[in-house]
Amino acid sequence: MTLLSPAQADEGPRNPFLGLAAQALRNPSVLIGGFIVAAIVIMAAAAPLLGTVDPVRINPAIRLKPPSDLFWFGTDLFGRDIYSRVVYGARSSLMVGVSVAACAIVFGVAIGLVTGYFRRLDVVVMRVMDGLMAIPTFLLAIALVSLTRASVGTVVAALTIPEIPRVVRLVRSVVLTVREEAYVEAAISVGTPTPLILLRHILPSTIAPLLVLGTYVCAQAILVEAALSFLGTGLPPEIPSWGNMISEGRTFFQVMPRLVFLPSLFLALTVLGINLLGDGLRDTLDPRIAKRM
Amino acid sequence: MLAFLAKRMLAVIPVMAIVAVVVFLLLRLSPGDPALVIAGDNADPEAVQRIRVALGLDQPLVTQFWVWLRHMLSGDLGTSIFSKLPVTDLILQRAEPTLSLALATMVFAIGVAIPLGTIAGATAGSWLDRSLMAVSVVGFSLPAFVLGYCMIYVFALQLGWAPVQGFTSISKGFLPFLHSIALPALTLGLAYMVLIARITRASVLEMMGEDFIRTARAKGVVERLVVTHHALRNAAIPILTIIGIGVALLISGVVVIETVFNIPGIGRLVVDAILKRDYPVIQGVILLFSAVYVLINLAIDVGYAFLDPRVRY
Repeated sequence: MTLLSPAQADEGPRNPFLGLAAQALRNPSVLIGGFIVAAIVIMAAAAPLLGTVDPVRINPAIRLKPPSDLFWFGTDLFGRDIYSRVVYGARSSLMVGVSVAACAIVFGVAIGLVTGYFRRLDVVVMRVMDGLMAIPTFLLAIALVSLTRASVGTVVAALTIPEIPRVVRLVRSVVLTVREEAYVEAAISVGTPTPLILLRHILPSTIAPLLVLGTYVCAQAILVEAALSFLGTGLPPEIPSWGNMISEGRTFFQVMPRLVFLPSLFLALTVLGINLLGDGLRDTLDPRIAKRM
Repeated sequence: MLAFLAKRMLAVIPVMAIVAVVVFLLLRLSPGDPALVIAGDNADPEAVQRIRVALGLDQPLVTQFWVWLRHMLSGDLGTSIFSKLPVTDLILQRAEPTLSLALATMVFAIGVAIPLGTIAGATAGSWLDRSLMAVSVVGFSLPAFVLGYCMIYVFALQLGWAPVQGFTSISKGFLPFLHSIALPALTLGLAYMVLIARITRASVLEMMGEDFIRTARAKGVVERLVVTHHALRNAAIPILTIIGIGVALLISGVVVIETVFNIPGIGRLVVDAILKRDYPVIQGVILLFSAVYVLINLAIDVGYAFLDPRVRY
């Protein structure tokens, strides 16, 4: 047995999160995915600075123009600048993706923590979740969207509801394992109030798997929003979103495939980036996470 | 075995009951009074009230639910607000294209995914394995409609190998039918294929490390048979499970792909119904698709018991 040298002892415990972050950055999926996501986020944030014009300004005189110095990607069938619409479209997609992931996690964690901990609630809530999961996600989303007039809020709500059961199941599975741990039993035995046990002792264990699931939910939400908009039931048509652009470009696809392919390229790239990031995080944070999902 | 089957089948009832409640509430929560929609804009209040009573809309919600459920269980899915035709008839009229597309997709996806996933799992780390994993990330990120347009562009517009859009019924000959269904099935099948191949790879890979594989090799079984008879067969359960779960992917995909390829199927029916807010049709299709999804997964659960004696507990 070797004793710690004074230098080693002085180092003290390293921040575990910093260690994980350093490890994650060595993963090629995290690097490539993170790079793509960062580029799209910067593009969305800096949209007005990137040589764009008003993405919704209609000018029938310059309909369906080919790419030129003035219109880098050409113009669409209403004479709007495609380049500007693609750049601004990143804002719609990211906003929908991030909002859906955040809402699904907030509601899913609340329901999952409580049902996982209180056995009596568990049976009822999980039956409801099973029922919701039996309706294919996309169908439930279009049914919910069809209930109200198209707006950003209803699209986010319609995409969030089908994702909540997945978050609940994940959180519940973590709670069921963690609640048997000795430190939770210890907390119970010293009389820690239940809400405190849930928040302080159980919630932290869900962070890593939720981070991974959150990226998948975000990617899925961006895909479903685009598909809804493509079918004409998603975001209102005046909002520049990639799905709306593909939907409008569809009629001219045979003569001008660019109208469909340009927004498609950015859509696929964004989703690819987020998925790569999620896969990489899953592999570095904890290989066991995959089994829970 | 019988007890196992009974338990599995009974478990489906609460799930379908929840689905029914959700779908029923969906229709009742929809804005607008159905009686008003049916009566038309210029109807006098008395006529609207008559229709309301005739439809049972004046009854309490719970009573309405039981009446509605009885109709659904007897196969009566209601009447379309716009075409005034029974929803069941509308669905049956459009069943052929959707069923053909779904079956062709499953045959393609499963037929490619299992051999590919097995080889990748048995030769983990090889170029085939690495390219499969790379393709799978891309396959998950490419929206079905984007892939559909790429397919149309390359195979229909540039190469002229396939018709751009439309569907040819099988009654007009098998080859024209196959010709019209090939591109949509390939498009719809890619994500499904990738999903199954990934799970097949992972399960076969896990089996390859088991003791019984070493035993089989030690007694001199040819490697090909070690993989197919020993590894793949024991990996069957996760593969079957993902085939069942992936059906949700197919159902969602059908809705979009039928629009891309202009196929007059059930997916197109529901999209048109949503654009026109024809709630009985939306409700009927969701109920049908959910039931199909649950029943396929039930069939797969039951299938385990036949495939793997360990399941019959």
